[in-house]
Amino acid sequence: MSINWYLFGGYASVWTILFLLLLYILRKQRQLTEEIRRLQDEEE
Amino acid sequence: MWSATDKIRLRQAERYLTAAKVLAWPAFLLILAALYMAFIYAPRERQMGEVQRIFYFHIGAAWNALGVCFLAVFIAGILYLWKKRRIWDHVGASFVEIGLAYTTINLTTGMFWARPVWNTWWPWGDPRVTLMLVLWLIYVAYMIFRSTMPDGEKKYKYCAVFGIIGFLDVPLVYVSIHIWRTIHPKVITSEGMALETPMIMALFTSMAAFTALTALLFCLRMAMRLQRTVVLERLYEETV
Repeated sequence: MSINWYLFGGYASVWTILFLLLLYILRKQRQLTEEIRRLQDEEE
Repeated sequence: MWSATDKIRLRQAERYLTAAKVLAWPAFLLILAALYMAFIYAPRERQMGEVQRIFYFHIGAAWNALGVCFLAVFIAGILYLWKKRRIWDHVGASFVEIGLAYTTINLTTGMFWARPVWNTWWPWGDPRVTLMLVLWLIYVAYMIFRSTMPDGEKKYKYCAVFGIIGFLDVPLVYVSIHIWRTIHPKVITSEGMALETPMIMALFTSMAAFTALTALLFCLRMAMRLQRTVVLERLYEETV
Protein backbone atom coordinates (compact mmCIF):
# COMPACT_ATOMS: atom_id res chain seq x y z
CA MET A 1 0.00 0.00 0.00
CA SER A 2 1.49 3.33 -1.02
CA ILE A 3 1.19 6.46 1.10
CA ASN A 4 -0.59 9.46 -0.38
CA TRP A 5 1.76 12.20 0.80
CA TYR A 6 -0.70 15.00 0.07
CA LEU A 7 -3.30 13.35 2.30
CA PHE A 8 -0.62 12.73 4.93
CA GLY A 9 0.57 16.36 4.71
CA GLY A 10 -2.97 17.68 4.99
CA TYR A 11 -3.74 15.73 8.15
CA ALA A 12 -0.29 16.34 9.61
CA SER A 13 -0.90 20.09 9.29
CA VAL A 14 -4.28 19.74 11.07
CA TRP A 15 -2.79 17.91 14.06
CA THR A 16 0.34 20.05 14.24
CA ILE A 17 -1.67 23.29 14.44
CA LEU A 18 -4.15 21.89 16.97
CA PHE A 19 -1.42 20.29 19.07
CA LEU A 20 0.61 23.52 19.20
CA LEU A 21 -2.47 25.54 20.15
CA LEU A 22 -3.43 23.09 22.90
CA LEU A 23 0.14 22.93 24.18
CA TYR A 24 0.35 26.73 24.31
CA ILE A 25 -2.97 27.04 26.16
CA LEU A 26 -2.19 24.29 28.68
CA ARG A 27 1.29 25.66 29.40
CA LYS A 28 0.01 29.21 29.94
CA GLN A 29 -2.87 27.91 32.02
CA ARG A 30 -0.51 26.01 34.33
CA GLN A 31 1.70 29.11 34.75
CA LEU A 32 -1.33 31.20 35.70
CA THR A 33 -2.62 28.61 38.17
CA GLU A 34 0.82 28.55 39.83
CA GLU A 35 0.93 32.34 39.94
CA ILE A 36 -2.50 32.52 41.59
CA ARG A 37 -1.45 29.87 44.12
CA ARG A 38 1.65 31.93 44.90
CA LEU A 39 -0.42 35.09 45.40
CA GLN A 40 -2.86 33.19 47.62
CA ASP A 41 0.01 31.79 49.71
CA GLU A 42 1.48 35.29 50.12
CA GLU A 43 -1.94 36.48 51.26
CA GLU A 44 -2.12 33.82 53.98
CA MET B 1 -6.95 40.93 50.42
CA TRP B 2 -8.67 39.43 47.40
CA SER B 3 -11.41 41.73 46.23
CA ALA B 4 -14.96 40.47 45.67
CA THR B 5 -14.48 40.91 41.89
CA ASP B 6 -11.29 38.82 42.01
CA LYS B 7 -13.13 36.05 43.84
CA ILE B 8 -15.96 36.09 41.30
CA ARG B 9 -13.46 35.94 38.41
CA LEU B 10 -11.55 33.05 39.98
CA ARG B 11 -14.79 31.18 40.61
CA GLN B 12 -15.82 31.72 36.98
CA ALA B 13 -12.40 30.48 35.85
CA GLU B 14 -12.85 27.33 37.96
CA ARG B 15 -16.21 26.74 36.31
CA TYR B 16 -14.70 27.05 32.85
CA LEU B 17 -11.94 24.61 33.81
CA THR B 18 -14.51 22.09 35.07
CA ALA B 19 -16.47 22.48 31.82
CA ALA B 20 -13.24 21.88 29.86
CA LYS B 21 -12.58 18.67 31.81
CA VAL B 22 -16.14 17.49 31.11
CA LEU B 23 -15.76 18.28 27.40
CA ALA B 24 -12.34 16.64 26.99
CA TRP B 25 -13.58 13.04 26.63
CA PRO B 26 -16.52 13.69 24.26
CA ALA B 27 -14.22 15.83 22.10
CA PHE B 28 -11.54 13.10 22.02
CA LEU B 29 -14.07 10.37 21.18
CA LEU B 30 -15.70 12.49 18.49
CA ILE B 31 -12.30 13.14 16.90
CA LEU B 32 -11.61 9.39 16.84
CA ALA B 33 -15.06 8.83 15.30
CA ALA B 34 -14.40 11.57 12.71
CA LEU B 35 -11.08 9.94 11.75
CA TYR B 36 -12.78 6.55 11.41
CA MET B 37 -15.55 8.06 9.28
CA ALA B 38 -13.13 10.02 7.07
CA PHE B 39 -10.63 7.21 6.47
CA ILE B 40 -12.64 3.97 6.68
CA TYR B 41 -16.39 4.61 6.53
CA ALA B 42 -16.48 7.16 3.71
CA PRO B 43 -15.95 5.64 0.24
CA ARG B 44 -13.01 6.50 -2.00
CA GLU B 45 -13.90 9.33 -4.36
CA ARG B 46 -13.80 8.16 -7.97
CA GLN B 47 -11.94 11.06 -9.64
CA MET B 48 -9.74 12.54 -6.91
CA GLY B 49 -8.95 9.31 -5.06
CA GLU B 50 -7.56 9.22 -1.53
CA VAL B 51 -6.65 12.91 -1.38
CA GLN B 52 -10.36 13.81 -1.31
CA ARG B 53 -10.42 12.59 2.33
CA ILE B 54 -8.79 15.91 3.29
CA PHE B 55 -12.16 17.48 2.48
CA TYR B 56 -13.85 16.30 5.73
CA PHE B 57 -11.45 18.15 8.04
CA HIS B 58 -11.08 21.03 5.58
CA ILE B 59 -14.81 21.77 5.79
CA GLY B 60 -14.95 20.95 9.52
CA ALA B 61 -12.32 23.64 10.13
CA ALA B 62 -14.07 26.12 7.80
CA TRP B 63 -17.40 25.59 9.56
CA ASN B 64 -15.86 26.20 12.96
CA ALA B 65 -13.87 29.25 11.86
CA LEU B 66 -16.67 30.98 9.96
CA GLY B 67 -19.90 29.62 11.39
CA VAL B 68 -18.88 29.31 15.03
CA CYS B 69 -15.81 31.37 15.99
CA PHE B 70 -16.01 34.50 13.85
CA LEU B 71 -19.80 34.65 14.24
CA ALA B 72 -19.25 34.50 18.01
CA VAL B 73 -16.65 37.31 17.73
CA PHE B 74 -19.23 39.40 15.83
CA ILE B 75 -21.96 38.77 18.43
CA ALA B 76 -19.55 39.33 21.34
CA GLY B 77 -18.47 42.63 19.74
CA ILE B 78 -22.06 43.85 19.53
CA LEU B 79 -22.76 42.72 23.09
CA TYR B 80 -19.64 44.47 24.38
CA LEU B 81 -20.59 47.77 22.70
CA TRP B 82 -24.11 47.42 24.05
CA LYS B 83 -23.55 46.15 27.60
CA LYS B 84 -19.94 47.37 28.17
CA ARG B 85 -19.14 44.22 30.13
CA ARG B 86 -15.54 42.97 30.07
CA ILE B 87 -16.63 39.34 29.75
CA TRP B 88 -17.72 39.97 26.13
CA ASP B 89 -14.24 41.19 25.30
CA HIS B 90 -12.83 37.96 26.76
CA VAL B 91 -15.31 35.93 24.68
CA GLY B 92 -14.43 37.80 21.47
CA ALA B 93 -10.67 37.58 21.96
CA SER B 94 -10.84 33.86 22.82
CA PHE B 95 -12.87 33.04 19.72
CA VAL B 96 -10.54 35.06 17.46
CA GLU B 97 -7.58 32.90 18.51
CA ILE B 98 -9.46 29.63 18.00
CA GLY B 99 -10.97 30.84 14.72
CA LEU B 100 -7.56 31.84 13.47
CA ALA B 101 -6.21 28.34 14.18
CA TYR B 102 -9.12 26.83 12.22
CA THR B 103 -8.62 29.26 9.33
CA THR B 104 -4.95 28.23 9.21
CA ILE B 105 -6.01 24.56 9.16
CA ASN B 106 -8.51 25.31 6.40
CA LEU B 107 -5.90 27.07 4.27
CA THR B 108 -3.15 24.46 4.74
CA THR B 109 -5.44 21.47 4.12
CA GLY B 110 -6.75 23.30 1.04
CA MET B 111 -3.20 23.69 -0.24
CA PHE B 112 -2.43 19.99 0.20
CA TRP B 113 -5.63 19.14 -1.66
CA ALA B 114 -5.11 21.73 -4.42
CA ARG B 115 -1.63 20.53 -5.46
CA PRO B 116 -2.69 17.11 -6.85
CA VAL B 117 -6.18 18.22 -7.95
CA TRP B 118 -5.57 21.70 -9.43
CA ASN B 119 -1.86 21.20 -10.05
CA THR B 120 -0.99 24.26 -7.97
CA TRP B 121 -0.44 24.92 -4.27
CA TRP B 122 -2.23 28.25 -4.39
CA PRO B 123 -4.74 29.33 -7.08
CA TRP B 124 -4.59 33.15 -6.90
CA GLY B 125 -7.43 33.49 -9.37
CA ASP B 126 -9.91 31.68 -7.11
CA PRO B 127 -12.09 34.21 -5.21
CA ARG B 128 -12.90 31.92 -2.28
CA VAL B 129 -9.26 31.04 -1.58
CA THR B 130 -8.20 34.68 -1.85
CA LEU B 131 -11.06 35.91 0.37
CA MET B 132 -10.25 33.24 2.94
CA LEU B 133 -6.66 34.48 3.00
CA VAL B 134 -7.98 38.05 3.44
CA LEU B 135 -10.09 36.79 6.37
CA TRP B 136 -7.00 35.17 7.92
CA LEU B 137 -5.07 38.45 7.50
CA ILE B 138 -7.94 40.47 9.06
CA TYR B 139 -7.86 38.38 12.24
CA VAL B 140 -4.05 38.29 12.34
CA ALA B 141 -4.27 42.11 12.22
CA TYR B 142 -6.81 41.94 15.07
CA MET B 143 -4.34 39.93 17.18
CA ILE B 144 -1.46 42.31 16.43
CA PHE B 145 -3.67 45.33 17.15
CA ARG B 146 -4.82 43.76 20.41
CA SER B 147 -1.32 42.94 21.59
CA THR B 148 -0.05 46.48 20.91
CA MET B 149 -2.81 48.36 22.77
CA PRO B 150 -2.67 48.85 26.56
CA ASP B 151 -5.50 47.24 28.56
CA GLY B 152 -8.52 49.47 29.01
CA GLU B 153 -11.96 50.48 27.79
CA LYS B 154 -10.53 51.98 24.58
CA LYS B 155 -8.81 48.73 23.59
CA TYR B 156 -11.91 46.60 24.22
CA LYS B 157 -14.10 49.01 22.26
CA TYR B 158 -11.76 49.11 19.24
CA CYS B 159 -11.39 45.32 19.30
CA ALA B 160 -15.18 44.91 19.37
CA VAL B 161 -15.51 47.22 16.34
CA PHE B 162 -12.65 45.37 14.59
CA GLY B 163 -14.39 42.04 15.19
CA ILE B 164 -17.69 43.36 13.83
CA ILE B 165 -16.15 44.86 10.67
CA GLY B 166 -13.89 41.83 10.13
CA PHE B 167 -16.95 39.59 10.06
CA LEU B 168 -18.17 41.30 6.86
CA ASP B 169 -15.73 39.09 4.93
CA VAL B 170 -17.40 35.89 6.21
CA PRO B 171 -20.63 36.00 4.13
CA LEU B 172 -18.49 37.12 1.20
CA VAL B 173 -16.34 33.97 1.52
CA TYR B 174 -19.50 31.87 1.51
CA VAL B 175 -21.20 33.45 -1.51
CA SER B 176 -17.98 34.00 -3.51
CA ILE B 177 -18.24 30.67 -5.36
CA HIS B 178 -21.82 31.42 -6.39
CA ILE B 179 -21.38 34.99 -7.64
CA TRP B 180 -17.93 34.85 -9.28
CA ARG B 181 -16.28 32.55 -11.79
CA THR B 182 -14.36 29.94 -9.80
CA ILE B 183 -12.85 26.49 -9.96
CA HIS B 184 -13.73 25.82 -6.31
CA PRO B 185 -16.01 22.74 -5.92
CA LYS B 186 -19.63 23.61 -5.11
CA VAL B 187 -20.60 21.04 -2.50
CA ILE B 188 -23.71 22.79 -1.18
CA THR B 189 -26.05 23.83 -3.99
CA SER B 190 -29.71 24.88 -4.17
CA GLU B 191 -30.55 21.22 -4.83
CA GLY B 192 -28.84 20.00 -1.66
CA MET B 193 -25.43 18.44 -1.04
CA ALA B 194 -23.59 16.97 -4.00
CA LEU B 195 -22.24 14.04 -1.95
CA GLU B 196 -22.95 10.38 -1.25
CA THR B 197 -24.76 9.70 2.07
CA PRO B 198 -21.70 8.10 3.81
CA MET B 199 -19.65 11.14 2.77
CA ILE B 200 -22.26 13.50 4.24
CA MET B 201 -22.20 11.49 7.49
CA ALA B 202 -18.39 11.65 7.64
CA LEU B 203 -18.55 15.38 7.02
CA PHE B 204 -21.08 15.98 9.81
CA THR B 205 -19.06 13.85 12.23
CA SER B 206 -15.93 15.89 11.60
CA MET B 207 -17.91 19.12 11.95
CA ALA B 208 -19.30 17.88 15.29
CA ALA B 209 -15.82 16.79 16.44
CA PHE B 210 -14.30 20.18 15.68
CA THR B 211 -17.25 21.95 17.32
CA ALA B 212 -16.68 19.95 20.52
CA LEU B 213 -12.99 20.84 20.32
CA THR B 214 -13.91 24.51 19.85
CA ALA B 215 -16.03 24.39 23.02
CA LEU B 216 -13.15 22.75 24.92
CA LEU B 217 -10.55 25.28 23.70
CA PHE B 218 -12.93 28.15 24.41
CA CYS B 219 -13.44 27.03 28.03
CA LEU B 220 -9.67 26.70 28.55
CA ARG B 221 -8.99 30.09 26.99
CA MET B 222 -11.73 31.81 29.01
CA ALA B 223 -10.40 30.35 32.27
CA MET B 224 -6.96 31.63 31.32
CA ARG B 225 -8.19 35.11 30.47
CA LEU B 226 -10.08 35.45 33.75
CA GLN B 227 -7.10 34.22 35.78
CA ARG B 228 -4.75 36.50 33.83
CA THR B 229 -6.91 39.55 34.59
CA VAL B 230 -6.76 38.77 38.33
CA VAL B 231 -2.98 38.16 38.29
CA LEU B 232 -2.24 41.32 36.27
CA GLU B 233 -4.35 43.48 38.56
CA ARG B 234 -2.67 42.03 41.67
CA LEU B 235 0.81 42.54 40.25
CA TYR B 236 -0.13 46.09 39.26
CA GLU B 237 -1.32 46.80 42.82
CA GLU B 238 1.94 45.38 44.19
CA THR B 239 4.07 47.68 42.06
CA VAL B 240 2.02 50.87 42.64
